Amino acid sequence: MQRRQQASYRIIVLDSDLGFVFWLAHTLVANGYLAFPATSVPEALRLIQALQAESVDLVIANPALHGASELLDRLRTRRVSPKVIAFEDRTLDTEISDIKAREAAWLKEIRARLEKLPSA
Amino acid sequence: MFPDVAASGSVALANRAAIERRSHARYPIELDVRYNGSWKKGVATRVQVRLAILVREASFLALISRCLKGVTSSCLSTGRFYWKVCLLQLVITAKIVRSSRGGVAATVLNHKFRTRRRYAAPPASIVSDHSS
Repeated sequence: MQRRQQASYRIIVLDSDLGFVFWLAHTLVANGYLAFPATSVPEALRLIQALQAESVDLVIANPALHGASELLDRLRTRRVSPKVIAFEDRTLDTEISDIKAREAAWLKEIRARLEKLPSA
Repeated sequence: MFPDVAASGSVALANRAAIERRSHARYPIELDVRYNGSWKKGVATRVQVRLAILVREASFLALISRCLKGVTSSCLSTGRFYWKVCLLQLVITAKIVRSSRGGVAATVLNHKFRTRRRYAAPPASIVSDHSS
């Protein structure tokens, strides 16, 4: 099976922290992904609608954000549901102080999730 | 029958603690900034930007690593800053609160993600405002 090009992966980053979503989306774009930041659930919903839900491969979201858990539950029930990284319980950003190490940790985690997706 | 208040409270506290721990993290991004301020319009290239949450004030602080043209140490102006991320553009309306040779600090009054016009096909409907 042929692996998809990174640029064809569409990722939504959802958190109330503008700095975080902006940074992570920018990091992902710099590494060849199509990433879209959102700071609220309505904003993420608009993105998902515009991108067509089936074409969203990964949602990185903070479930502590108001309405995010419901959104993730809804996405999981779809026929082709995107992978989800709920980072509330993760230590990615709480214990890694070095920004480069943090970037590498996120990219490793994202690659691992995307590898589990079926090939196009 | 009734929600476990102690448990849900502790979960909320844990959630809050997780958010608080992350909240002082500042994420540096280096990119070009276009600005349109009451002082001047311009573009600053390869600027390091850090967006930090001011937890107590529930707002964001934009730290820009370079002094912008026309901004003096006494300049407390409001302006718009534009950054591109993928197909979206982050537009921030911010008020400069501090300026020195080393850079500019501005409080974010509101922000929105806008689609970039030259990408006509994808998400034209994504325009949202968020007061912070």
